[in-house]
Amino acid sequence: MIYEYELMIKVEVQGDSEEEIKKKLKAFKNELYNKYAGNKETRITMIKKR
Amino acid sequence: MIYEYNLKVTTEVQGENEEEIENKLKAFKKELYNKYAGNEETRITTIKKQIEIENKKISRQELIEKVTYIINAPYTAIDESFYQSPEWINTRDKYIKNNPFCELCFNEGKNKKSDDVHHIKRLTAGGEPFAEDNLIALCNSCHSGTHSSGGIAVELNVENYFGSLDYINNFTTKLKNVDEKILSQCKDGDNVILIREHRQGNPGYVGVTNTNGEYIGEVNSADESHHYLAFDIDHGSEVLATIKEICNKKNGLQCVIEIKKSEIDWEEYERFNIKEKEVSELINTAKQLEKTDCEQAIQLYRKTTEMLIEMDRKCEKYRTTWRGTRFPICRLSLVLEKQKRYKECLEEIESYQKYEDKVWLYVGEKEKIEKRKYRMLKLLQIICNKQ
Repeated sequence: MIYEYELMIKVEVQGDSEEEIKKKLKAFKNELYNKYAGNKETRITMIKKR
Repeated sequence: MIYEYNLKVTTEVQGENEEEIENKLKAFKKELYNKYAGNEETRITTIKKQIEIENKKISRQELIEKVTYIINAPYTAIDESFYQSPEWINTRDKYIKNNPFCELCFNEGKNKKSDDVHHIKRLTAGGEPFAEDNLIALCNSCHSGTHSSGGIAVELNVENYFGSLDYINNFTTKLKNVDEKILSQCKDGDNVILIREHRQGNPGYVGVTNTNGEYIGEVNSADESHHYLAFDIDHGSEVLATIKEICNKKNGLQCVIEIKKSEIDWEEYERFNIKEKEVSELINTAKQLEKTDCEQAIQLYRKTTEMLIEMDRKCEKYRTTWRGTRFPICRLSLVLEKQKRYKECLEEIESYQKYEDKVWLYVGEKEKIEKRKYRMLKLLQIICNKQ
């Protein structure tokens, strides 16, 4: 059986400018997705900024 | 400066039971926290389980029973304008947003995107149009299955279905795109042959020829009461058709044919269906293996290609048209190209192109493999020149 959950993850991003922070957040989202989307038993299917 | 963001992360957890799944989710949260809480520049501060996406409490079987009940209700025409109303569009969009996966597939452990919202109890049978209890999010496949004579709605209740809706089995229909020259040589009562083809842009195509195989016209598959015809032929139903009337109207000759269908061979359908699911699962496994074990992925793609050819061979002429699983040639050739096995890649593409695939590939794949073939030819030419 497969269950699906929504997790709310709070992330703190540090940077010198808003643009840099946005870039870092994007990179972080990509890293999470690339690392966990391919997992077999527990995998991330979607990441969205709330 | 430090900014704080909330990320909504949708996670899928697989397990034997609820306890195992809960434990796996906990372990996953812990892993994420341990890995990213200590980061300096981008760090996770909290992780909370927000929602558990519920399993809809309706099974495929229950839906079949409900739909059968509805089918037994008197049939009246559906007011199509309802589906264009802003109230319905809003309700539908909101429901799909809250139920992003096909609820029937989800119940069976598969995650398929929901494409449409279906009324469990039909509106013309008194179903509530906006009540969530009467709505179910379905993928295209399950939705068409629910409505079609060959789908989940009736697969266990064939007699009931055909008994109450005789117009689906016996009906007359006016042909479109007629060939007046051939038609003028026909007469009322002549037998005609229906040709089922899965054409791009018109998957419900049913052509009509005379007994010599000369084209007369085509059945208007957009006509609501007749679109079951293509489904039925796909599922192996024998169909007889005769010319009921040829008349000369202002716009030229017109032809009305009478169609009589027999029952679908459900045993054959099920046998084929199980095999197809097996192939589809193997293709998915191969896709997952592409990153970790290319050779294994290639072998699996080749194996599934052989299985599909075998399935096509065993099935009668038109049954292959409803096969949903497509040849994995696009993936196979891509992996071979990435592996720089250009000759093999070219051979696979050419071998597929020689094969008469009645089901076609997914949209855009044909063009992709054509481009890849051209690329392979160029590359092989360059390699050959160097040698």
